[in-house]
Amino acid sequence: MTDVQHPRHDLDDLLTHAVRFSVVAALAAVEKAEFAAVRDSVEITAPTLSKQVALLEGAGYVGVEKGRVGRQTRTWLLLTHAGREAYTRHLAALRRIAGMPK
Amino acid sequence: MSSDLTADEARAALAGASSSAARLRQRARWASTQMMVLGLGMGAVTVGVGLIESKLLGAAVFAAWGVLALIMRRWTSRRTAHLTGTRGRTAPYRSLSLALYGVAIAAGGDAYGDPTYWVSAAVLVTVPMFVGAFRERRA
Repeated sequence: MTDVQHPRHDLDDLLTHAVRFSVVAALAAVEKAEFAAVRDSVEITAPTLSKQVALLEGAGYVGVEKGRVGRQTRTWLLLTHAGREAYTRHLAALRRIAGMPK
Repeated sequence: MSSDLTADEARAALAGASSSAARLRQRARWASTQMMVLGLGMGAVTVGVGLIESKLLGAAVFAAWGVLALIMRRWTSRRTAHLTGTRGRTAPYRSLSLALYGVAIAAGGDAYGDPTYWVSAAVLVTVPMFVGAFRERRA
């Protein structure tokens, strides 16, 4: 008897939320991005992004850095190593569920 | 919730995330523009050094280059997304252009005022930056 688990077992609970998954996917494509750039790319409001980033930061998936450009304060978001690993696993599981090649 | 995920829902989640990632990645591809502008600037300086006789105009060319470099630095600091490894990918092209500029200046002592030499040298100096810009656009 084979012991092959259904790919849903590899899904990350935190990333099953569509907005959080999109935020992490967007950050996986870059080294870092400013808060407003992520907000516009994922097409959500700033409060929604704040809330989801807080959850992702709490899980250790996303890092938040503050910086300044002239007088403007910038908030940079970046995917941590743990976040990248979780995203890769989740992505692979989704692809298997969708019946897509790896 | 995840146990109820169907193949169609998984495909929709992948498509949504993919378009968000593509939009942010597009925003992060600014280094290509930076290299094109700096490449053109380096070409203009090369031509200016070899063809402009007036010391005042020659100084103005270097001043304009300094202003361009400052503007590009300010422009770069205002970019809102950064691709991974941009510096490492573009550094060889920047270095090669600088090295070719140095060679053109060192070898062009006898060609002062010769447009054929200096325009060719300018093109040679610019090419690595343009190749780097082209590759960065596809990164």
